Amino acid sequence: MNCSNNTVIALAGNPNVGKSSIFNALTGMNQHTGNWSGKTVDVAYGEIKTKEKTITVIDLPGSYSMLYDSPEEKITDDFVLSDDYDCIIIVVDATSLERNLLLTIQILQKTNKAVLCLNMIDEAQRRGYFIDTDELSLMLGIPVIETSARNKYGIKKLIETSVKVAENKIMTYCVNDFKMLNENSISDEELTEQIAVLANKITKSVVGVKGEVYTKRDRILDNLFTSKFTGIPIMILVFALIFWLTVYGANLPSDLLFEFFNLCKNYLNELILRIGINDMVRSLMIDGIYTTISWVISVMLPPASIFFPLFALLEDFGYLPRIAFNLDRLFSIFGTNGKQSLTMLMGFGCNACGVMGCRIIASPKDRNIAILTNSLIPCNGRLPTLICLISIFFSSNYYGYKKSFISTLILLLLIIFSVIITLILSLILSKFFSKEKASPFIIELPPFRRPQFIKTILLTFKNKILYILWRAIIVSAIAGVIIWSLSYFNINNISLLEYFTTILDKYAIIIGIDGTILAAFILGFPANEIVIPIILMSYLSGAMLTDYNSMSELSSILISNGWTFKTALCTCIMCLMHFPCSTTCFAIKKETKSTVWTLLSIVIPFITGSVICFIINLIYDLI
Amino acid sequence: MSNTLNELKKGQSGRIVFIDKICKQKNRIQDMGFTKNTEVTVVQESISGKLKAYLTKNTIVGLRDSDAKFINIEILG
Repeated sequence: MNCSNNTVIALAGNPNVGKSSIFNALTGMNQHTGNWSGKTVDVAYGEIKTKEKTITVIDLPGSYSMLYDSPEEKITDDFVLSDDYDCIIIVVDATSLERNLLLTIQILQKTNKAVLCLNMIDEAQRRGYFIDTDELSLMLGIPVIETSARNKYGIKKLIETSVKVAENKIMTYCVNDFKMLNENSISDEELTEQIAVLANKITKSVVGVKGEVYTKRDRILDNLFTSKFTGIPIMILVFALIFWLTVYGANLPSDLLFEFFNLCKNYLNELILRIGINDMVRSLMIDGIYTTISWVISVMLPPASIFFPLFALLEDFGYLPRIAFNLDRLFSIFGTNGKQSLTMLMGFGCNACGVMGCRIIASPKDRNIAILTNSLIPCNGRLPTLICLISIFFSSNYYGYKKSFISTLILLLLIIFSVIITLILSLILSKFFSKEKASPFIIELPPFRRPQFIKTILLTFKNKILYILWRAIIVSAIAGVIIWSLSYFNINNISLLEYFTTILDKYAIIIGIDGTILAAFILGFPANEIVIPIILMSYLSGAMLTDYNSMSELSSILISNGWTFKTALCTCIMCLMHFPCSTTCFAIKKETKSTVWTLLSIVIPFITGSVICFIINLIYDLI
Repeated sequence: MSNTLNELKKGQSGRIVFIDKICKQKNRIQDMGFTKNTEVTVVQESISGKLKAYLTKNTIVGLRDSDAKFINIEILG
């Protein structure tokens, strides 16, 4: 047990019952929540400060069973068996009490220092459920508190009750039925069956039903999203719309930010001249750090600020599991399973998150394949690079709406191409690495929920976008110094950067790009956001230092350095398929616990990208 | 005569009689709510037809036919 002035309370329960929402409500923290199983795969910590003491709150990943078979469920199992807590809050979805009781009873077999949190009670009542909480409390031997995390209802009572249980001020007990389960030594299967019988008995005696969970509205929506004729077209439309809004919406803010930074640059230069700082330092600060930061902010921030909230809304609505349901067959043909599509979707945000998210895949083989191929999905750091290159080279002859449609179409084609390559690689890997049969696929399809628009948008802004901004500033400042140093210092009048790129040129030319671009991918290892600024800076360092003030000047810089349609295409392909960024590599190492897999995750995409670009280059030369 | 869960068509219901021992995923399937004597209704068939969504214990769960065929049921109509 813990020392008396620090109480530890843990949240456990099935996936997607609102544990993270309860966690946020308890601690006042702002973890993003989603309406799908597997949103939280890692443990989160928070604190509640009361007058007397500090309470540590632990948010465990969702779990269906203590007889675990996926890594995130093992966390819960180990935790409940440990002695590291004073009270467990078992969070259940009031609308599906019976299923939730399976895990509840499993936990109560192990401990009775627990409180049952009957979450989403408002939704249950709206759907015509009446739950006799007093009776339920008697049958389980622990206090039962009704809550609605969304409306912050019942949260205070939940804290008070949990603390009382933790301090032994409320006595909980192990009811006879559960004791019996412990005493009989039976197989896991029989145990599960007996627990199911108990759960059914309890549910029957405490729940009165007047409605149905799976409402007509859910039925209609599911028919639209998962049926034969509309499922896939709607999926493509949804993503086309999100990408189009991102591409189109980011345009103007991007230009404005560009102009703003340029304006500031002139003033800064003047200021520095007036102060009289020496030119080398000025060049480092302005041409190195400032330019990189301003590029990253003006190109990365607008698309991220549009894409993330939209994606979060989709998550909250409950659409993502439907995608996995739709695509499972496709993925199973390629030797893996539909949950990989969820981890790929998370990859759009950040590949490191996508890799972590692979914990939702139960089979080790499928999980490793999903981890290995995750970096083929362009993350938020690479998406803007693609959008930028597309608008310069592929849709430059169009204007206004038309341009944004063409850009979106090309972006979608590139992403679909990446998905196809992911599937092919998955097939090869699944054949190569294991003879294990394809793993099972069981996925919960939660009821659709109306997203909390304003809250979600504000939250993603606060959590994701400010984080990205911060990271971008740090990384680009460091990168700015490095690139600037490489291009500033020289031997025999040839800069270090030029030496570097000349060596790389030999290989780069074979795959349709040049040494500078390849160098940029390598130097962009800490963060893919800085690939284009590196390219620009090294081009500009060779020639007269001209400034680029807009996209059009940017395109002329690239073209004057030998870029053609082919260069742009190969750069896009290499952007999709090179190697994961350093953060993702760490995540891969952490998740697979294998240096070999980590190395493979670096080598395989790079070889794939190189081969594809080599072929493109070959075909292009022939024509 | 015994039927298996994968034979149900959209809209049909059944009651689970037993889950075949050779099913490797038996525990997992049970944990998701497919337990003995539970009523199950097919609410959705996937695009490929190889996967169905079932309503059981007030939750909707997607299950492949290749796993559902281990679940023996009596058809309720």
